[in-house]
Amino acid sequence: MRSMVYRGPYKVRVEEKDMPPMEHPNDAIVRVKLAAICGSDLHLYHGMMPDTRVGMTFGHEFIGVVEQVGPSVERLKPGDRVMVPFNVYCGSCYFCSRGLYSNCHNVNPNATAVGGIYGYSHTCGGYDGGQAEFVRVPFADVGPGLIPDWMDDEDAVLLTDALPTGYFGAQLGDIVEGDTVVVFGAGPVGLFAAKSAWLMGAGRVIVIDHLEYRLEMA
Amino acid sequence: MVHLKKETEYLGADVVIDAVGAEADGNFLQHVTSSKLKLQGGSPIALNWAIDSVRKGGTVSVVGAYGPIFSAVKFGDAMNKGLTLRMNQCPVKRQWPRLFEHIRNGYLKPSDIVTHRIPLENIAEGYHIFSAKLDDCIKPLIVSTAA
Repeated sequence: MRSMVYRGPYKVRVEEKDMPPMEHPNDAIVRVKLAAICGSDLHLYHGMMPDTRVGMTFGHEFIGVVEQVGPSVERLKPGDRVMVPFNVYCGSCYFCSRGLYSNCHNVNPNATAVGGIYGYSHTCGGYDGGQAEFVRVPFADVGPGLIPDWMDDEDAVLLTDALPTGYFGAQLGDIVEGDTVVVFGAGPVGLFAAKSAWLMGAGRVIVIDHLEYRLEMA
Repeated sequence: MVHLKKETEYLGADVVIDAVGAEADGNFLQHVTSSKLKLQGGSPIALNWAIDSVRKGGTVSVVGAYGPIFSAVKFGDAMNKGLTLRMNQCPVKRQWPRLFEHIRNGYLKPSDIVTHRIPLENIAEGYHIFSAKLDDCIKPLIVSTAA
């Protein structure tokens, strides 16, 4: 299959790679339809993230169609349109059962802080990401969600990281009606955080960035 | 910063959200210690500005990217201002039910921010455009050849 591959800082290219194998009965293989480059992928691209290995495929924002499922997968079947959250998580450990999916204890046992993230270096578990034709999705019954019929693909792909993260940022702020909210950064996450802040009743939202064109968007 | 204070009657904002990635452009010292020497795990510039610009007793919410190494954060100011600091990587699926509703009701249209649609074969170009902030790029999507 065709796949984006990291070759070193500021060097990525598309290569022919082996199809991702089924490694566990609860895996699914997803045929990617649409992926996105996240601002945080640029940190990998710049060589900022420790343990980013040559040969790795990035991409933690992707949607697609289920190609194949393992024998223990119950919720998905081949042909389903799915959106896959950027978190890889087991859904049953101490942390997952408390809703802390991003801090799952089973998918990245070497780390003390972060859980697993698709295509985000071996610091985050070493899972290959979705900037490829096919991707392996572990715990297929846990993370992926079916895309509702009324939802556009482009909206769905942004629901795998950028929008939820922006919304989450506004939620963590415990905004009460009339609050003045300042957002640093007018990238996708910052723009979504600002929109979410308005939805949560902020009285004023100020967005700060040094790129003029992005502020116009805000 | 001074302008922000004036805007908020010299109190500061009630809530500040840090949504900058790990490479905020700040000053030369920051650039050398973080990007060049890898002494800091991410750029605390935006976070320090957040701590400066929030009011006493306010809340700072962090969803920007920070690596595993130490960052030079103004912790004393945060403590003495009585701030609430909240942060995590987003647990995506927890947000879905409410976001589905917002999209369905037309309050949010996420795809509005998409500026580029790039075929998988040209992904290197996509990384370059996004990284160098060329062509007013905000969000590039990658269209797979397998679909």
